[in-house]
Amino acid sequence: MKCPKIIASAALFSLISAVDLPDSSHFYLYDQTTPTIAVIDFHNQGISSAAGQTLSDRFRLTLSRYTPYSVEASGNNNRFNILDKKPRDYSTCLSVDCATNIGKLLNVDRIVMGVIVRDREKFTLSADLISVQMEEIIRSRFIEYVGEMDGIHEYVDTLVTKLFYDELNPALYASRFLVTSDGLALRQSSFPELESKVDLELDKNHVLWAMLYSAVLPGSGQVYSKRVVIGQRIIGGWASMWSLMAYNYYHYRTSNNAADRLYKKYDSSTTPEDLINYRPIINRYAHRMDRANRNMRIIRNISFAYWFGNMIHTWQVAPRKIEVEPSSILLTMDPLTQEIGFKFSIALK
Amino acid sequence: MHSNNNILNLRLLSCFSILGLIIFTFSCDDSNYPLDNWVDVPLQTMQSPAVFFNPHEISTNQNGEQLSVGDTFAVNLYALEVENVAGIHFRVEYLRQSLELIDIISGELFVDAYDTLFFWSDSGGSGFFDVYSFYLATDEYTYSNGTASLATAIFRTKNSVDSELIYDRTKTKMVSPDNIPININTYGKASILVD
Repeated sequence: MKCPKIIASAALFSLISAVDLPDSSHFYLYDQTTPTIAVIDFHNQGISSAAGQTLSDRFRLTLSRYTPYSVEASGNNNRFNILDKKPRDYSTCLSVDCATNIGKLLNVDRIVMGVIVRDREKFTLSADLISVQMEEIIRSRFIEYVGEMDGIHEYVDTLVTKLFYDELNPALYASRFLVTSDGLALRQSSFPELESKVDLELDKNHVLWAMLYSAVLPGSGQVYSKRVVIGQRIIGGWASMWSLMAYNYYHYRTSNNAADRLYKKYDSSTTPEDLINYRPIINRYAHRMDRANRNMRIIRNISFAYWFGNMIHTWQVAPRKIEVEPSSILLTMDPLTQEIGFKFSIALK
Repeated sequence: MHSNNNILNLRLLSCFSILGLIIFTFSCDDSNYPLDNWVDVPLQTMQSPAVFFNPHEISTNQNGEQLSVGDTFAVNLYALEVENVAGIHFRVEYLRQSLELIDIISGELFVDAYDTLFFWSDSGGSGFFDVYSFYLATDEYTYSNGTASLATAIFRTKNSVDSELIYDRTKTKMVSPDNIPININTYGKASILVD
């Protein structure tokens, strides 16, 4: 959503806060106009296109929230319409020329293109900030991260802070960022609020599908939701439990069959020698059956708890439709013209 | 739209709850093999080594019909889980007024012996008969083990009075190859029910 050009991009609170901030170029905050920026879908290597899409959206959202930029082309509609129905070409844009051309098409001041590379558990995130007018890279940053896919979102946020370290919005800076020896870092406490906003824009109910998948095979819903590692582990755990169940069921069934056969003989026999022989064997089979059945009951109860927990987890991680940014009113000031005004942000749907 | 989503979520939750309950209630039956064979029931109460009759209740003749006056029936004299036995002497008391002892034939306890020395005698008017059997050793074995019949007694009913077969505890004994008595813990009995 574009802001009116006549209204400054900072809140009065941020101005007051800025008094305490270091007087350096790192905290260049305001411009006469709100600069516009577009983020090309990150090029993906080793991760799914859906995951890459999610991370690109994450980048856009973080960028829009923590910098004064007006982020363009964040959303499927803009992206597909503007790019002449060729989103694939758009997402594989890796050259400065390509990026600047798209920037001109979008009529933005700057454009970001990036790459996410996965090599087993090692992720490399890199991004270039490009001036569309100058047709050159202003700044490049990259981050390496070793871990699961689940934790990469925070590194996308960090990549934003690294790439736009001198343009962070102080209204958010004061409460959401920490000054560390390594530079700026996002406060952990700010993530839950942010993460609740970072959901995919979806055209179907993925929660339903994820839950259905998980109901049938625990873990598959997580895999469906691109939580592949945890999903595979849940599937593995489930498979292990049901292997144990199958093992016990095999013992139960074989013992049951053997006991049934022997019991028929026992029931019809009148020969004491045979009866005395059959009796301990039947007892042994029965004991084996009961033990296997007891094990199956334990596994069943654990499986139920496992399944139920899996369903809760699936519910939590399943992709949801994006939430609409709430309406807001900010008291802002343009430092150059010394004018104070209001910034209205209204959710249209 | 919002209410539709709520309904959908509610239905979804119901389906998942049902599936969860199915998993939770899925179960196999425990074993159920009552060891209640009518021949075996008295054996389970006996403490071995023991002697008993098989069957312990006789109400049918050899043709499987209801036992009546004049019918013949057979009853086995059994040793239960004996060890190291090489000779036996069983004395069985019966109601002479009701039963007539026809014959006694050798059983299977000493069947793997080189030969079995077996003989029996009826007391005549005293109401008991004696059975003697001895294990004639082979080069490898001098005694027998386990549960097996020692003899089979064949009776004929004289009248319709019910009676019992009882081991004489003072005379009935089993011995090892060294003629050492084997303690008998339980003595069974048989009931003859004549129609």
